[in-house]
Amino acid sequence: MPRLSSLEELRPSPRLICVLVLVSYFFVTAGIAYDIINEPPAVGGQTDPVTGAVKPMTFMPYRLNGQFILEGLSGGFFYTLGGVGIILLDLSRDKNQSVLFRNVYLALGLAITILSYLVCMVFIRIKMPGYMR
Amino acid sequence: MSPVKPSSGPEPYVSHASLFETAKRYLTKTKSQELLLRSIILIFVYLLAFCIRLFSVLRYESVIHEFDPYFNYRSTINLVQEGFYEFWNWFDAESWHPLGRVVGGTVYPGLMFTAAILYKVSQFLTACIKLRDICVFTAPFFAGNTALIAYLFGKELKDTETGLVAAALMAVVPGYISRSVAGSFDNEAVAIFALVTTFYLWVRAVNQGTIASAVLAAFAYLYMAASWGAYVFISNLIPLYVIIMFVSGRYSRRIYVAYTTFWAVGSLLAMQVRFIGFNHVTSNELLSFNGVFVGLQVWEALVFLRTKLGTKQFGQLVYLTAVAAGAVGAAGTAILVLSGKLNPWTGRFWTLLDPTYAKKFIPIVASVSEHQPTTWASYIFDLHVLVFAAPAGLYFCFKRPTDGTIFLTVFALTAIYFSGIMVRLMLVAAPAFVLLSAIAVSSILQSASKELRTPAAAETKTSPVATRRGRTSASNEENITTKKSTNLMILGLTFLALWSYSSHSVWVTSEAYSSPSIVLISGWGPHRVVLDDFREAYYWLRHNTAPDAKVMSWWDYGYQITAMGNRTVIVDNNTWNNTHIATVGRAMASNETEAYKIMRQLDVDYALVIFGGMSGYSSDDINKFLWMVRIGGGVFPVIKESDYLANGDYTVSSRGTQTMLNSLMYKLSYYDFGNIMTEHGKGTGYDRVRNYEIGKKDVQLDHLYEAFTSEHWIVRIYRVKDLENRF
Repeated sequence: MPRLSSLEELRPSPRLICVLVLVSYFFVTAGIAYDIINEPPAVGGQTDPVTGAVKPMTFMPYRLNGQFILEGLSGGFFYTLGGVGIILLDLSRDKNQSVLFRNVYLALGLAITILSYLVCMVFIRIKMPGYMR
Repeated sequence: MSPVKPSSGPEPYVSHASLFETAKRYLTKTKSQELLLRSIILIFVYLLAFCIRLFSVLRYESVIHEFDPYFNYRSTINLVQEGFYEFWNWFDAESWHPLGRVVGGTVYPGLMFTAAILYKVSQFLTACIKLRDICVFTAPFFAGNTALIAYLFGKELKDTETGLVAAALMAVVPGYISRSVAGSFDNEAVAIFALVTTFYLWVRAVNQGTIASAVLAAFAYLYMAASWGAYVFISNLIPLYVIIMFVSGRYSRRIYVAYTTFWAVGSLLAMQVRFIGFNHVTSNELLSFNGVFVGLQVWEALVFLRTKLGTKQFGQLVYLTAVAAGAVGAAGTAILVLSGKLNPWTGRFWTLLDPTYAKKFIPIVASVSEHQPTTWASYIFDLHVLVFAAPAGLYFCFKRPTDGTIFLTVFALTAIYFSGIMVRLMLVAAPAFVLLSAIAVSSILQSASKELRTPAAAETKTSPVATRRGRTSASNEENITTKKSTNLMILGLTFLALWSYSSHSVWVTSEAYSSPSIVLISGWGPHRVVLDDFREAYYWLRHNTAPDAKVMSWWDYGYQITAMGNRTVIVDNNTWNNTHIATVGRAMASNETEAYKIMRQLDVDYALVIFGGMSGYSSDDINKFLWMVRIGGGVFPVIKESDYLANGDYTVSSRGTQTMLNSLMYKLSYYDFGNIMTEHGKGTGYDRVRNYEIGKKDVQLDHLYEAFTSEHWIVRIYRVKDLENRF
């Protein structure tokens, strides 16, 4: 059928879909549904007992079921970044690329993956002080 | 050896090797080694999946947790004692007091049947395990089975290595453990097994394209439909997959065979469950399931006709049929919708599409804590390193798409989206994360080990060149991706990541997901405090009240009261009748005289409240009170939420409104509490949950009197007085 061949040209490339999927993954794991329904502030405030000044508090403490907007976005960002790191690690295996690119992908991928994991561990320790105690 | 030689053929070969020599011969073959390794890994995975879920049993005792499992336990007792037909036609008069509940037609019986079958099998094998223990250990048993099915699924998707990684990850993923610990005798315990099995068998059916494999998938779908209301997820995901395959140009005859058989056999089987019945063909929730079936038949018919007719005739036929079909379809849908035959989507599923729907329209759905949306921290808590490996798995699925990996992609994307909307659905997303991560981890490990195995020859070839000319060898720079040290480092990092994943899972299971919520345990070692108030109160009810006494409490505790206290309740966790629950909410929120009238109408003998102010238990009725007001106010406008809030603040202190301080819930919770000193240095009547002193300290009750208060004041039971003598 003649119309089908134009449909093939209309079809988006897998690479584009993969990028869109990663963007949506970022938004979902950042807790966007929680932000829309509960409308928390972007950052919280902690009143200093002595001076009375309000210090910004980025992580809603002691509760896993509450978050501030920025906190959620940063968490989701590092999840996606870790995934991108592993993707880079795989891109470095492509034999058709130049050696320079392969080395860069490998080093960058390793660095990003390890960084994301460590940052997320730090985040969860700030949020839940009783973690792994 | 027989004395008669065979007339034809050579002598049969008999080996004279000893056992040791045979074993050595087998063990040195690579194929046997691989089989041995695989079997050992799978056995350990099964044992791990079973044992990690046993924390609460080892720490406390083998007891059923939470609220819903008590109803399932009671139903299983009914099934085992009365038999299949009595259970299938069971009308329960002990809950929803004046109304009763048709249990046979409003329950998903898969879990009860599974437990009853396990019980009968163990009786038959003379391993006489008590029914309660069977119920407690059903979930870990099925968790092990799910891990094995994940192995088969991974094998079907990619290869054996992926399957093994999937099984290992599935055994300990905390998102799944949270609802399948020993003691959590709930639908999800068997439903996740059914879900993964159905998906595995469906992918197998699509890969093979035979009727037999599709029928097997349909039977797995029956098990899922009998176990959990989320079977509509499968019935919408598979048609969505078919549509996506169609749109992406990968439609094939195998998909047609698989889907048609699955639809026909699966619908018929699912309709055998009384709760589903004809909903399977008339409900809006399954519209895509049925619609895609019709669409596939139409497409195949068109293809068939095109091969038989010429192009021009075919074009005319297509035009005529399209117009006629469009008209008939539109008219038919209009008639069905107008005559009310098409059942609308239920509220719970609307929430998945429009997250703010429940908050605006159905407070009872919005009030359940499991239905709250997910925060970022739940992901890392429930999945740990899988959140990093899952996007990489999606990339691998896009890199080399096969029928199976496209299905996994569709499943994963929908599951991840839904898990963002409701915390409870993290359970459904966990298998998707596990499978994606298995693909990613297995790919990393395979590429690293491949590099480690091959370049032994290549290095010796290039090394004389490299040592002679230093850095100016064939390539300008060293290729660090092929170096042994890099790949060993990658393997080491993967090992560390998986190690941290498993230690995190064990810690999370031990700390967060193993609490038998019927018993409150706090503290360690010599400072351990066990609060067993719930069972104390329910057994008091069982032994000290009339057998036909009716108990009014908030719907959370209904199942437990009926199962352990053996008394009739007014409302319970099934929440099928919103008006009835609103009546109870109105009674709790009104003043004592109004509430007494409602309680006399409902024939209530005892009122039960949960109070945490003395012990510090924070999920008590005062904290849930605003939901009672909202639900009651949703049906009876006389209850207004603003009456209970002082300047927009919900408080029971001296700033609280008069309506709040005179409500039945306040009186029943704080009766006699004003005389108690709970904390050193604070006044009397200091509420340890709200952290302030209560407003009204001398509570007088006119129409009820205190019947029982448990040891730590967590459960308080009041007897409703009879009408006064008129003379």
